Amino acid sequence: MSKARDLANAGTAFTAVSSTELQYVDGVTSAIQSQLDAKEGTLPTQTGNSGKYLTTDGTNKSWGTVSQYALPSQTGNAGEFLTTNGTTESWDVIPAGTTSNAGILQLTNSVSSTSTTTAATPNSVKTAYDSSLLKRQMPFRSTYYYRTPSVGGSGSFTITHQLLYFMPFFVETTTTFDRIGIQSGLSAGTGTVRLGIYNDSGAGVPSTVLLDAGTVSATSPAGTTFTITISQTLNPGFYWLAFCQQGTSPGTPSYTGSSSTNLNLLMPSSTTASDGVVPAAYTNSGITGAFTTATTLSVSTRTPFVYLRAA
Amino acid sequence: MKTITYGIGGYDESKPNNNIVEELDFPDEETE
Repeated sequence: MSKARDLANAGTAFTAVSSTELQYVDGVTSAIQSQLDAKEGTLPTQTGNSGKYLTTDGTNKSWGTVSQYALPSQTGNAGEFLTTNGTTESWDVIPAGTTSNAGILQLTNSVSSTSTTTAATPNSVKTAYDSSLLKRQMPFRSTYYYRTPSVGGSGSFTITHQLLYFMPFFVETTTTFDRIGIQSGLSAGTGTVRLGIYNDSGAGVPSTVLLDAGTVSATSPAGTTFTITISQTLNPGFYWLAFCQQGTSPGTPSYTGSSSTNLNLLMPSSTTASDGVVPAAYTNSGITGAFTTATTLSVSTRTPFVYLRAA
Repeated sequence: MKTITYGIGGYDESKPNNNIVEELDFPDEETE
């Protein structure tokens, strides 16, 4: 610093150099040009590396390129998307969908097409629905009772004690039922009657228990209606109403039912084209407690009536 | 005609009135 000040005060030869400029060399301990030349020599050679950028691997400097991010040729690939197989990038298109492969599908409003490579619009679904059987199905009337279907009259039917009667029941539209019940016949029973609903096996016979509603104590005068509160929603399909008198059997356990041998249109008549046996219900014998999956089935030509009320 | 309605689950000795929630008597309908 003192040398710079001496130079600044040396005379007219330094009048063009300010004191501030001379102080820029403060701290210099060797030839400045030599230092600059030495610094440039630490760069990788620039010859042949035009357009590249200076990079480092953490230890050594080098020239790098952006070639690894270059796109594949765009010519002839309009509308395609860029993808990679994990190593190489390329242009690709979304494939057409099929029944075995995901992909793009053409929408259609058709309600008659049998194509397996197009997709229905909500419009075509509505058109099909509006003309389908679903639209023609009769709903259940709220707060009204529906009973075991049968052809023929009703009367007082003496049931068999501990015999579980399955009566087919068809639901066309999804419906919630809030009561299940029976009516005592001419001779008021003293037994306990268990009521419920079974699922169909899918082969036209009762299978698993859908609802065990519990029991009613049929101890009131003849003609009394006994109902149990339920909350059971049934989707369209076949079901089986279940009736079984349990406990101590009365002398004449009678309930409202079919007045005589009757045909139930939902039951098969025979494996031959004859009228030998016309069952109205399937049965399971020896049922003494809670309902369980239906087992070996017999048939009955008469049935007690079970009533369901639509909510 | 008499109507007896049980609550959910049906007859139940552990509940009041054996779980009977409603008991109604209707006069017999007259026919002309």
